Amino acid sequence: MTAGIWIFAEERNGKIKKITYELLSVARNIANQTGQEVSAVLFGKGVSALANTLGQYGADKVHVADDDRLAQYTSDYYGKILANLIIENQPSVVLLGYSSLGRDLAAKVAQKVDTGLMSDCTGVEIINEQLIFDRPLYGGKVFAKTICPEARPVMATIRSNIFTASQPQARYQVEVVNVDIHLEESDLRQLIKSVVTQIASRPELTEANVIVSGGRGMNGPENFKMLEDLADVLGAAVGGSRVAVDSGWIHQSFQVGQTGKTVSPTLYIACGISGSTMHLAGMGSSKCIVAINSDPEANIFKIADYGIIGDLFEVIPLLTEECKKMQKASDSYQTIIPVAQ
Amino acid sequence: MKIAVLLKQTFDTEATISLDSEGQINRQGVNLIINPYDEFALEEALCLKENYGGEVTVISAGAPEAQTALSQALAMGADKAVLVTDDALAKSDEQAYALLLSKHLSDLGFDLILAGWRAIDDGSAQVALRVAERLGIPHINVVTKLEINDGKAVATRETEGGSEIVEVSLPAVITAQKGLNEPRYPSARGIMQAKKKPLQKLSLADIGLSADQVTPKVEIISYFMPPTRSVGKIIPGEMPEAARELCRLLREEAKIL
Amino acid sequence: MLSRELFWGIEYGWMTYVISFITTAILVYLLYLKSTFWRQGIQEKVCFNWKSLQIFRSLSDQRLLDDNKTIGILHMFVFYGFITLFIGTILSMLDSHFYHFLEGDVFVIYKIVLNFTGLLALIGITALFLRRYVFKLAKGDNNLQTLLALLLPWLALVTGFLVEGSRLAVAPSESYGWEFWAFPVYPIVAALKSQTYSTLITIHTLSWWIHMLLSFLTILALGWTKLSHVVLAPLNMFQQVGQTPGQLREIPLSDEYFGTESLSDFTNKQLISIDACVSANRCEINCPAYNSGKSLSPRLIMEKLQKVKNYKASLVGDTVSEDELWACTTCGACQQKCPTLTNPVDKIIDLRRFQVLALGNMPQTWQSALMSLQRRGHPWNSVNRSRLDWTKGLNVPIASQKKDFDVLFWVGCTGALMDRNIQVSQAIVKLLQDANVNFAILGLEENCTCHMARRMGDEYLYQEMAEKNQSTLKQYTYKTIITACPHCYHTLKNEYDITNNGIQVLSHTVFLRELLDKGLLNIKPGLGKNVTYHDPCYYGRINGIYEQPREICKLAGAKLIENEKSRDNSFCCGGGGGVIWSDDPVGSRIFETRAKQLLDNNADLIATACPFCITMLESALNNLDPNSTVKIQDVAELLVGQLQER
Repeated sequence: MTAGIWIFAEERNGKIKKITYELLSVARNIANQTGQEVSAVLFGKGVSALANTLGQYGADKVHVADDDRLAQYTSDYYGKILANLIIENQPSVVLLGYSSLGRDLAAKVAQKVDTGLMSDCTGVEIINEQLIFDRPLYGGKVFAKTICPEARPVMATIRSNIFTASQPQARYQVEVVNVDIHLEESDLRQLIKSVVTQIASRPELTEANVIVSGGRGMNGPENFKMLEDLADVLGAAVGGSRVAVDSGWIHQSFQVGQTGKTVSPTLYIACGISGSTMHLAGMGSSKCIVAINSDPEANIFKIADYGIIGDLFEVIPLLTEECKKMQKASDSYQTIIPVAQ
Repeated sequence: MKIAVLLKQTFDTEATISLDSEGQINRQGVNLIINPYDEFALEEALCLKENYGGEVTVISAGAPEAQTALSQALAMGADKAVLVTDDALAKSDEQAYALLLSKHLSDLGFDLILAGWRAIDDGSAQVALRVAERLGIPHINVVTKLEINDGKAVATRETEGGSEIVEVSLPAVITAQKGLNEPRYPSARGIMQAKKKPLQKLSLADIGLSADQVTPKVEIISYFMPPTRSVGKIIPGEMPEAARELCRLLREEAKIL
Repeated sequence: MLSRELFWGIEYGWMTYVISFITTAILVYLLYLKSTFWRQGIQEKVCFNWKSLQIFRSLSDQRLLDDNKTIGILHMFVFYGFITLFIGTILSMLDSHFYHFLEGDVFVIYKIVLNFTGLLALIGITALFLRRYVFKLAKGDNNLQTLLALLLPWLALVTGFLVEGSRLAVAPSESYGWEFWAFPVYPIVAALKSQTYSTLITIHTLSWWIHMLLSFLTILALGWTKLSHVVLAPLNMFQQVGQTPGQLREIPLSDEYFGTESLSDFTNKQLISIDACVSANRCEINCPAYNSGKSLSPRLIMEKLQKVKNYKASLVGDTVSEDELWACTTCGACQQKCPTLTNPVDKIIDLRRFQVLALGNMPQTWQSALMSLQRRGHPWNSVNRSRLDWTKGLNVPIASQKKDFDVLFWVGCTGALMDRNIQVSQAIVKLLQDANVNFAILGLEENCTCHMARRMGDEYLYQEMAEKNQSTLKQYTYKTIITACPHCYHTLKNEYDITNNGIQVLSHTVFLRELLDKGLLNIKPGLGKNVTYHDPCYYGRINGIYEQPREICKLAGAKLIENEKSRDNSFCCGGGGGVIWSDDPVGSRIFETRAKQLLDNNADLIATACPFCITMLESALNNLDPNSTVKIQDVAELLVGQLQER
């Protein structure tokens, strides 16, 4: 395995997305163990300047394709360029994030280059020079160790918030390679008619470090304001259980659970959520779970790291107060994962 | 319109998963259902048929038990069903399934191919997109709204932090997301009519493929159960104190805040 | 001798016979026309039973009296009045043509009775007329048919008194003590006495012919106006033979028949039943949907169905709205109160059947319950337990392992899977173990009885599941099945085919009462609380179990306070018929209506014997007053609380 560990870098509005840093640290880890180079692939418009940042987080080389036609992600354009790059350079491993873009692109490219793809991976190890990826099945109720023994490159999409990005380091100038872009108009079969971006001052649910989530105990949409206040103090995203969505208290895009989004934040605060299996399937891999519920028998307490049995309408505002106090006292938060530039 | 729906039979979402003595997933007593996302795809296909006329074929590849899932799809209103089942498929991966599905699909010719965006068992979210690539047709992924006009598909696609409206020309592959529609109930009349509808069972040879063409590129070497979380701490005490204690623990013990 | 001459003072009196012949012919024709409504349904054998007619007739009177004594009494005036007058006419005919016996004292008694009952009938009709047209209290349409049904007999009575009065004013030979027996006509005679002979004769003749015409018109009215209930109600009662409360029609499922889409899909018996509705409106009194502001009124549905002209027209959507259709809890309160024994429930279910079986149409929330039933064998969609999880640590014997047992405890889906109701199953197990009952449960082999699915309209799913369950039940030998769920009870006992092997199905209340009777339970009556018992519909009204649960409460030491709506007059909690899974946005919630009624008794504890009642009432209490200290418990829980250590 000498041809290089590649990662696909995602950016949005001129900022590198957090998953990219996580991918880089995984790639770096594999590269160090196998004596290979880490390359990042970066597509977009006006993105060349970001190459250095990628270098700081672990890339040795960055393949940049900077073009007006690449401003907006399309699987046709991105897929063609990435596939050609892979065929030309023959990397041994290509990693993407299991994100909306990553999933779409990875499957297409894996098919184009005729290799296997392991999706939504939550763990990587190397045993006897074999790369082994952990994949969750059945909503995380069981895991499979998977390998791609022969086909190359080994492709995998990695779940967000599982791996930790390494600290950025000032490095020597990273090698930037400009990609020859051979795109015909006929290559593009998808016409993007409009894009709706939710203006969120809060982090996106699947990318958030901290999530404050409400369930049945919230008793109404107006009470979510309380959770939003806490989320603001913690820089968190707000989510909800299926009950909250079905009752019309929050929008479906905020649903965490088997039939909603799968999240794995560092901290998940479950307020008035009983902890059904369906909900756990969506947040069970959170690093730290805090549960606040008035029912001591609630299932959520069985998996929570910390719990308070009490009336959430009392606890949450107090918790918000306490966090504010702590913030003032220490002037900033130290989260495990550094906030991306 | 000739519409194909790719369908997978999966474990029931509520099923308890365990490993047997050989470390394989226990299939005993587990209820099998149509993958919920494929149900959205099927419902969409049926609605399109009601609006524009045409025919809906459901196609599944897997174990013989998948026949019940296909029967249910016929009961909901699909016209034909095809099950590709073969011992050689036992360990197949996404690209092998994509190969055989696209082979069968290209033999038959379709205007639109619908599928769920992922299956709830392995969550790969690959097969439909691979099929699109193999057939050389465009795709729109994770769709919450779909309209067909004049040989074009216009779909609202979910993205991180928002959505986009994308248009492609048919034939195309569209994958369904929750919210696209509400799948109908398979009525008793539908179930009875389904018994008369064609359900073809094909082996690899029937579609012109050999076993070594479907060897997997990805293999599962073992399964393991996730670590059971150890029971955590219930923070005792009256309210302001408990909240304070929680903050302290999150800072000092868990080192999060 | 005092008597009356036939056709006194009337020429051409024999015309009566001609006209009566013509009237009968027309009446037969009118009834024939009416019967087209019933005959376009599916043929079902109608068997007649005179005995049931007798029983049902008295039932009918009782039902009219029960909830509105005034109307009941007024109707009895009219009903018995006319019957008496009719018999009187027949006697008069026999007297004139065969054997003369109406003379002297016999004649006097004859006249007293007829005049008195005639007066009562007149008062009755007058009061009913005022009620409908002046005080506007009656339901049903105020159309020509309704008006004629009141007007024709009223006018017939009035003219009849006029005939008698004018005759008496002329022929004093009849008037030996006439003041005594002819008191209703006294004012008429007094007013006419001063007229000349020829005037009186004219009045008499005129009123005689008019009276005869009106009488025959009244008879014709039996075929055309609301009075047709005189024919239809008994007809309907005849063909109710063998019908038990809560009974549904078995339909053989085929490619073509899926329940009722149009009127022609009902059976002829059902159509007779629909036609028999007279808008008496007793059904609305206790209808849980109607009394919670929903659009469903059983009477309204029957009225609407009666008016449908096109027998092939689709009913749901146009005639019966979906809101009405899905709101019925099948509690049977309407059926129980109807004086003409019309049964709205089975019609509603037949309409549901077509919607669900042929169209797959049902409220969205019901779909998840039914899909869960199909996939997992129970309707509790969000639950992730097995049917054995609740038995942990309780040493509950499982049938497949125990093999030899006397009593099979049918736990039911709710009792095995829902947190709150598991507590009741556990209480029952403790009681059974304390009494050393040799019992077992089916455990994982148990599937939903599909009582609810059947009433939601999914007859197909019900029949499939029933077959499965029946074959499981046949595998073991035991004497008794007990269950703590009235819905399971009803279906196991009345709808499944298992009792023919001598197996008896018992309600847990009956069984526990028996155990107490035999002294097998070590209970001390220490409860010392005020308890109001809420009769679950499927134990109480539909299957007649009232006393045993009350006795259990008393033996546990409770002081019973009867709710105003108890026993067969109980008000449904709103959980039956699939409604527990309804979104319920319209009107107020049924369970809150019932909870408020129960809370009026100010008891410390509300006892009941049904898992759905417990779920609904606890929800209601939580909504109405989260701080309430009133508890809701199954009688088994009450009992187990008084169980002493041995």
